[in-house]
Amino acid sequence: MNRRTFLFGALGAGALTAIGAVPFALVDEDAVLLAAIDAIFPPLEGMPTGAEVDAAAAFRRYIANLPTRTRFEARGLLRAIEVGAAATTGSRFTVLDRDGRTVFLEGLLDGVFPQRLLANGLKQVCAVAYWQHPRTWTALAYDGPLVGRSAP
Amino acid sequence: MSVHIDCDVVVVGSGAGGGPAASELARAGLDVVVLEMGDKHDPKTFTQREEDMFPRLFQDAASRTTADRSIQVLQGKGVGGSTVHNLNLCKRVDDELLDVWEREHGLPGLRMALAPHYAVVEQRIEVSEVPWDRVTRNNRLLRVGAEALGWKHGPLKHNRKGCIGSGFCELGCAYDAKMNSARVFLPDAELHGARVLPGHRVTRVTTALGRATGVVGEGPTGEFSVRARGVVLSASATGSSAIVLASGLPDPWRQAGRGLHLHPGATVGGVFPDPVDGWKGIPQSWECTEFLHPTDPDRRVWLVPVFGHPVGVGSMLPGIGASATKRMASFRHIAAMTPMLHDTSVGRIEATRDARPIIQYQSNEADLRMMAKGMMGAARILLAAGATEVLIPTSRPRIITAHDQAKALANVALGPLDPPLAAVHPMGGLCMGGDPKRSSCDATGLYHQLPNLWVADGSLFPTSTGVPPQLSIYAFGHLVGQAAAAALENK
Ligand SMILES: Cc1cc2nc3c(=O)[nH]c(=O)nc-3n(C[C@H](O)[C@H](O)[C@H](O)COP(=O)(O)OP(=O)(O)OC[C@H]3O[C@@H](n4cnc5c(N)ncnc54)[C@H](O)[C@@H]3O)c2cc1C
Ligand code: SF4
Repeated sequence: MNRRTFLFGALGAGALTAIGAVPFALVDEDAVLLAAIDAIFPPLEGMPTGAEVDAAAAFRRYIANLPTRTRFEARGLLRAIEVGAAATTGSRFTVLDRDGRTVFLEGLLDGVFPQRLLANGLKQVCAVAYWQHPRTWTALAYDGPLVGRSAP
Repeated sequence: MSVHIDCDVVVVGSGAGGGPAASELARAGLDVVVLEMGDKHDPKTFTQREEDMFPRLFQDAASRTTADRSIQVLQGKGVGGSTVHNLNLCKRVDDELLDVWEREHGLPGLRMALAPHYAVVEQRIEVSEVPWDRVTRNNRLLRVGAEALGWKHGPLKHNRKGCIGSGFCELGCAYDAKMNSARVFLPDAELHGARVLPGHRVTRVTTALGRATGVVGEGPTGEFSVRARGVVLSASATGSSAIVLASGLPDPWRQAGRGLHLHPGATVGGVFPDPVDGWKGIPQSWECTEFLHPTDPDRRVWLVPVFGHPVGVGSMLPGIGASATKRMASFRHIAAMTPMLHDTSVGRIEATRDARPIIQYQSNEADLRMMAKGMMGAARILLAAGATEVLIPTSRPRIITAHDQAKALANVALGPLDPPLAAVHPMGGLCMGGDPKRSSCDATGLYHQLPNLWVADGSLFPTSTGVPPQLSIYAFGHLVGQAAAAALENK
């Protein structure tokens, strides 16, 4: 059992089940990411959306630092979510409403190991892309870096 | 452009093992070169932003995992290695466990041999107890809960000097308050003539006529080679095995890469009525050892506070959807604890052709049961300390509000990614032992199969330590450095 067997297996399963539904290569990764952030961390009142904090740009900055294979996997993950939703719910992930997306992702989290892998990976990616932005911190009352301010 | 360097001894990696090893070798008057794959960090440039610091300080930008992706494995890169971003806890391996290493791994006299090295490194990195006025509310809650339950608990020791309690330790210390390899041992090595070269990734140890002759790898300007009379591998419990395997070094009993332990941990959060402000101050200063014993197979989980910053906490807290955002919105009110396993699961390191580690590891049944017990313990402490609800990170999150529910957690069946685990203490891979058929190195770190190759890092430990390993790695780095210096001086 190794990394390839598992993640590629999981991605492959998503892609295969989606044959005839959504071409894997044509998925809009930014749209999937923003839809996922909206489902995983739906903004409470006053909180910015993923688009408002340009989470897609943060995701690209993040993956630029990853090893090649991991970068490929992170992008493949978004694609697998889009086509996997199409295969199992009949609608692409980005077309589902928020409740539909949440139910789909909860199903993955409750599923077999490769499905949990996809859902957990997606949550990590969303956390990195969204919560890194200072505008998301206001609602947490997190005061951000201390450098440049006086000691606590 | 190809670069060639000659020296007496080359040290690969500059973390907890490499720093003291290099310092002792240089103090002995040897011409030492330290090769470090990551950059040299300037603490003044640390931004305390996860987005910036993960790629700068962590291997694979903190995305490293076990091969099946089920456990996140955090390791450092850059001058100082993982000691740049670690949480500075210092604990010796318990004597009872050292006795087991002596008896069961053919290492007689190890405990006595190690003691003076512990003493020296403790003094050099200035180990002291975290003062009470620096114990944060997150840590005090662990104390309150453990006390209420009548469980064993106590203060922890650390290696900080000039700490202002910013709480950003895992993103590197912008105030340079960590008495780590980068601040203590590497400058000392340089003072004694060592050359520390960042940006040099070793891919292979070279050999001829049954001896190591140096290393080769990729540097800032292309390939490099180093010719040396001695080679010390300190590239961590994943990196050193990967180099040995990729180099095809003699290993007749296929021991290289074996015996890997990770200390995997989960995160259990509790929501409190009053603010906890878990991200402020020294992250870890109090421990609960009710379920931890160095050698008792039924007590193998350590309970210690944990916290992070928004990205880390956002990925740690269980669940998705509106409830997940609401929990994040109670960020100020969350205290968190990690049950960390003194694991008996044994993994192994494999390597790509260019010496990158592949971490094969799966938790065994006994460890999964112990993790369930640990989550029970963490939940009970949080409830006893006044949490209104406790968040259990199983794949279908459990919200616990009463001790009976918490007790039932001990019987929950767990599996891969249920809960998600993270590991910050990889160890083993090139284990010490008296029998070359069952180990890779002797008690001085000397690789059994080559007379001038040493290992000085977390790879050496023959079992899980059950306590944070840096102090023991510093001590072994010091011991191996002296042993290697003595051997090379006599040549
Ligand atoms: C978040 C976090 C918190 C921690 N907190 C604590 C704590 O509080 N207390 C504690 O005791 N321990 C803690 N640890 C663990 C501790 O820091 C490590 O166990 C220890 O630093 C390991 O020492 P090492 O020498 O084996 O490896 P490292 O310190 O990781 O050093 C290895 C070095 O080798 C370099 N390297 C790897 N491969 C190559 C190569 N091929 N060529 C050249 N260089 C290479 C790496 O870049 C790295 O700099 C923590 C770890 C993490 C991640
Ligand atoms: S808590 Fe202390 S050691 Fe940690 S980053 Fe802040 S000042 Fe540095």
